[in-house]
Amino acid sequence: MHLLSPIYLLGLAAVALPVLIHLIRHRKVTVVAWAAHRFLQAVVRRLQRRRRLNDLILLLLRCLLFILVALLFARPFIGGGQISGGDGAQVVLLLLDGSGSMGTSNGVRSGFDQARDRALEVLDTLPPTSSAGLILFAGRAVPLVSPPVRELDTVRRELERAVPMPAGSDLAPALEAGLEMLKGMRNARIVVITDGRQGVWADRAKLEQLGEVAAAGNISLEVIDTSETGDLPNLGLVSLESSTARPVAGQSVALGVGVRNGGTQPSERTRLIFETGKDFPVGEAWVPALRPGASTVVQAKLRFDKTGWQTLTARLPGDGLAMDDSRTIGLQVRPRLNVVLVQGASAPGRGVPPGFFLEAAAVPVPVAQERDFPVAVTTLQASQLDAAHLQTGSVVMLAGLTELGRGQELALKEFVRNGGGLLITPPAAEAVRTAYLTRPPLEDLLPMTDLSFVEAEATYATAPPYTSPITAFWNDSAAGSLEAFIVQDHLRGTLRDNASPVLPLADGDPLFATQSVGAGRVFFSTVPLEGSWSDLPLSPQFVPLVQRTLEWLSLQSEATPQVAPGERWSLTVPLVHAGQPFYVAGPLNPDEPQLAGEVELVKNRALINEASTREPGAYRVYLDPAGPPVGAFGVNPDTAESDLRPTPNAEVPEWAYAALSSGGTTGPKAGPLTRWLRALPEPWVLLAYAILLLGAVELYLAQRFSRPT
Amino acid sequence: MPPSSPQRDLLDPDAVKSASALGLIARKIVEGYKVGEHRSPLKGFAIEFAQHREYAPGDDVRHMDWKILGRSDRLFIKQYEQDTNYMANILLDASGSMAYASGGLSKLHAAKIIAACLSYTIVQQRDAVSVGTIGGEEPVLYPRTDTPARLPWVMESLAPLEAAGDSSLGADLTRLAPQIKPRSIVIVLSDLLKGEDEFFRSLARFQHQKTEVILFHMMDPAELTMPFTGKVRFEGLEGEEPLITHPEEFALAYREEVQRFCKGIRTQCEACDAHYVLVDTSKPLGETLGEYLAFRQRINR
Repeated sequence: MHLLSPIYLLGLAAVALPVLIHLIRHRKVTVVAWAAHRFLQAVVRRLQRRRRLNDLILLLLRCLLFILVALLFARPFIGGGQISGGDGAQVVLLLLDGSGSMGTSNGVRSGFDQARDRALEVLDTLPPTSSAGLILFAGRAVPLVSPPVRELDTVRRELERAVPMPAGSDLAPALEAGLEMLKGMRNARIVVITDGRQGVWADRAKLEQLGEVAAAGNISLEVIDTSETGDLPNLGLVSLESSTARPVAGQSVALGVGVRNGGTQPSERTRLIFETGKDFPVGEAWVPALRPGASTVVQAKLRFDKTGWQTLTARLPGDGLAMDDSRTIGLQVRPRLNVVLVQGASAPGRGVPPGFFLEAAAVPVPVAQERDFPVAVTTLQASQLDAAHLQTGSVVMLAGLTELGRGQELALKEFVRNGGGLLITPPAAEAVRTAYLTRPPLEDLLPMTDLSFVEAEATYATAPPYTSPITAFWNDSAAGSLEAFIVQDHLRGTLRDNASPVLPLADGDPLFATQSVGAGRVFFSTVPLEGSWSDLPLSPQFVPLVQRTLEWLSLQSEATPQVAPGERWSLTVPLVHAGQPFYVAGPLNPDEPQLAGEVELVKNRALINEASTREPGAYRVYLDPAGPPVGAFGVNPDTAESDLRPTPNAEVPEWAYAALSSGGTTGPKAGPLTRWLRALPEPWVLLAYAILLLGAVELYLAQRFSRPT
Repeated sequence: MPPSSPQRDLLDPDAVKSASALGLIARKIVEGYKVGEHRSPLKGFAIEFAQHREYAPGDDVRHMDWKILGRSDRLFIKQYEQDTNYMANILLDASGSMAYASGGLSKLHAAKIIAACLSYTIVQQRDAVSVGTIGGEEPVLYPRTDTPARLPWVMESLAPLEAAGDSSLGADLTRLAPQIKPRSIVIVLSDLLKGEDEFFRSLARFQHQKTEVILFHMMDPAELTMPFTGKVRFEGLEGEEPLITHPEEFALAYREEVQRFCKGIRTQCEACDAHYVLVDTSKPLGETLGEYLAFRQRINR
């Protein structure tokens, strides 16, 4: 028996308290001249002895209580001493696989339960005075008992509390941390308890290297494989993508769902269900039969009727591993996009107005189909633009305007600051170029300053990769190429600090530039999009480019539709909400949004940052818990964990293969008596019970003895 | 003393030490309990017709002279004079234990007041009274008094009495017995905390002499209830060994013991045909005395 905090033994001095109280109580004596002595003598003679015995019992009980309380604070435990591996004692570090695949269940016990049992067995077989530590590895190392301690009950308690996480199972970070921890210790062992799925040994080279470090440090490496043999069915979802993060209400959106057979037997044709909100099915698709290891992408089309933030969950029937049977994304269903096109005068000698191509690319369908297209365009002359038009549209395109009224400029600036999108193209006419370059309309909103005209330098857009969200679409070669058009003339300028270039040209100038202004966005083209300076409007990529630009401009905030467990999810909201509390309804509280934090003000942007994303599932974010959500996202586990097939021997590090071949754990198993003793509560718990019991007895006796005899 | 509280004045221990004050106290108490009474409280000792008096509302109609009513049609009642045939011997216990007082008035003081009241009443009824002490240094029985004029002398005998000594009550009673005439009344005022068996054996002699015995058992309220708390050193008033204890722990048993004792005294009194009166010195003495005299009237009616 040893003590964690022996300093508290000083509290034993408190034993003197009841004795002192007893003495003080007996010190003050009242003297009474008494006549009826005979009765008092008779009574006292008869009862004094019993009374003294009662007093003695109470005194002893109180002293004992103080002794037990002092011992309780000293935290006794069985075992103890300095941590070292000397004299037969061992230092064992348990590396427990806490990845998602450990949640595989045979219907009775999960893989993690079995791993926990094996870890307890290891603890039970340790020689006396050994010490142990515990690290959970699930993509990263999660130290639960670190460094190793002599109180094995602490390790057992942490083992009981531990739960698997919906994350990957890379062993390398945990093993590296463990080796660092045990460096220089004698009789040190690292016991890896895992189901041996492929993710565990993913970084084989690193693991081989760590095996050499362990051998050099004389640290024994052992592996306990808890994987179950036999057929393990597991059809898992590995991805869920929407063709757009902002589908238009009432119009179809294309979905792609990645499905993989991670089990050890072929899967049958399986129904896939789509749900929104509170498990409400909105559609279905069928997953074809898949052989083990095969994957496919199931295409589906869904239509959302209600606007606003929603979560969409794809769900498969339950199987051996529940973790990968569903995936969730967040979508912002928006109404039809109204675009106001304001165009200047046509260039001399040209038959089309400056906004002609833009208008055609914004609504690239026959007139009969315009009503069903998600974008509607209202075309105006500059003199017609007023505040009423700005209220109906969410994006304004200014094509070839050389001047605007002061009132119009003010209204447009207010429109952008409040979240509107603005696309600006310069005029093509040479006659007005100088005036435009001297003082362009809405100069304050332009992403570039010091504009100058670059003439007769035929150039092209640079090749992918592109970093802008507008052009990132063309990083996939299947989407076409943006290098196929010529830019003859363009404007050159200096980018503002908060502006971003879009699609750099070969000469280094950006063809487009963007910047955020308040809650809105501005897109500036350095060429008029009418075909005189560049043949871009005639390029097949022009329509998708305009469509993507309009979508980007209409986005008031960008949010990731899904994050990994533990990853932070962010959303920009209007500045007015900075400092307000926000609420989150997650998988554990789907109907009751709970206070999650405050909207932060970061670099003049109001940001909602939600980091409590450990649990996979659907999350809805609210600024007003009684109102509609202002954001939604899904938390989805690591897809690698879906693969339950054992790792081929060739991919297992040599030291692990050797450990597995030799049978893993060594040493005698604990007998039933030892296990029973270990199952007893810790000494301090017993002490606490004893104190409660003694306290109750003391109260009862004190009350009973204090009654007049 | 504030003049507005005469009852408290009467219980002032200093007043009891003065003979004149004691006489005054006795007269006030007696007159107090006789208010509204028109019959002698000691009726039955000896009475003789004295005179007629015109009837007044409230008079007992049993004393109406019906002959005068028949003759003159007027209402008169008969009044009686009392004899001095009976002799009352009032014996006060002056042992050390009678000095105990939890409040202002000791048991001896209370006994003196009761003795004075009784003397006053008896002499006013034309009987004779003799006071004496037992249990103190030396038993004494003072000469008889049968006229109101000599009452101050009785008071002077009572007033200076002090509680001291621990001689046996029974032995003292036996020593005084020859001086007590047969067929008289013996009134003992004592706490009987010592030698009660011997005391009652001595009383047997009076039973044979057809002498009536009345015992006023003087007890202090603290002796009856044991109200003390904390650590207390009890020092005996009659030389007992000091006793240190926490009395609150034994209070219940103590009270049972005292009740058992009082019950035993009452039982022995009944066996001797003696009247037993428990006097709690915290209660108004006039009330206690009045209750007893009313009791006597009832049994003699």
